[in-house]
Amino acid sequence: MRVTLRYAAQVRTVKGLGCEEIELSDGACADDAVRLLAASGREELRQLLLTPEGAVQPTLLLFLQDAIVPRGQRVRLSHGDTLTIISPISGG
Amino acid sequence: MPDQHLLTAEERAVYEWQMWVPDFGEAGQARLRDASVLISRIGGLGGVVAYQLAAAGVGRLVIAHAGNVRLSDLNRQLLMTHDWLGKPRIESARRRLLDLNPRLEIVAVPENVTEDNAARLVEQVDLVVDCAPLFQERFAMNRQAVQQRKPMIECAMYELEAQVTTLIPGATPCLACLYPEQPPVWSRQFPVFGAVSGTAGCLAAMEAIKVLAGFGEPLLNTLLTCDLRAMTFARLQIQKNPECPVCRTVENQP
Ligand SMILES: [Zn+2]
Repeated sequence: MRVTLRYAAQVRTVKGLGCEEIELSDGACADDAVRLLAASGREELRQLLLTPEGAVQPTLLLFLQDAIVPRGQRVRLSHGDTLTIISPISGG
Repeated sequence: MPDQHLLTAEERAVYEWQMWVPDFGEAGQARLRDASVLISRIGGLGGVVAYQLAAAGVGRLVIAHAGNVRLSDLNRQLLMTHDWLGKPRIESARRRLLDLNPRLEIVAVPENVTEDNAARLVEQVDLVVDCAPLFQERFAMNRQAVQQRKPMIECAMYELEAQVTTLIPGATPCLACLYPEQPPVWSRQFPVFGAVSGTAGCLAAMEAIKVLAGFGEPLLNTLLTCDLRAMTFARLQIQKNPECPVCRTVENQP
């Protein structure tokens, strides 16, 4: 299935683009998409997305369409979904 | 016949144009005048919040910010002026706010928010606007806002992006629901245009005005994200974390 990933904040800076479509196997969940993304890029991207142990960073905000993905829940994605990935910002 | 007005003649003259907003009016203006707001840091974002709230006629502002004005502040920190380089930021801010609104009562605190001063700062106000650039300052403020059940407007920016949400203890998530721990990568220095922090500041000021005066629809359980690179805005739904230790301390209280 194909899923659109939207990137914001530092994830966007490190990726160098705001959005892309990726291919995921059927039954994949939001965390799987984040892990796939982390494996596709540089170490800097990996550090934004994953803990040193390889879990999804607990401070990363994920939204499926417009609704937050509750932390630690396996939320399954469907073909055509949009997953927004926002790393935390606190600039003033 | 007694004076039916809630405001003085000067106040009515200054705020006339905003009192034309039908669900705000003179009663809303009187609520703003009787309100107090804490703004944590008055830099690129908080400075615009403070300026807008001073202009709108909020009666009392508690502003907290340490340090002296530097050249690198001047692309965005609109309360700082070139002639004040090397002198305390908080004094520059106080001067500029009183130039605009001499009726304003200002408590100018030359400190950033810490675990030690957060409780006494939050105690003094009805509402908090959180504009600090470091998560540890934001977390200290969040704990106190939740503990003291004060609404907190949470606003932040990075590069060409801005985010705003309104946190009401008990009714919405708190900051720790969103970020359960210190984010590992964030640093104090970040790319910023003044127009981006100013956008976040104006949005946050409008949220504060709505909550204080009791009109409109604040961003409850909603994170507004603004991407000024493409001019796209999104309303994203957020929710409480049932495991949140900060919310839990208060929910267990009678
Ligand atoms: Zn919470």
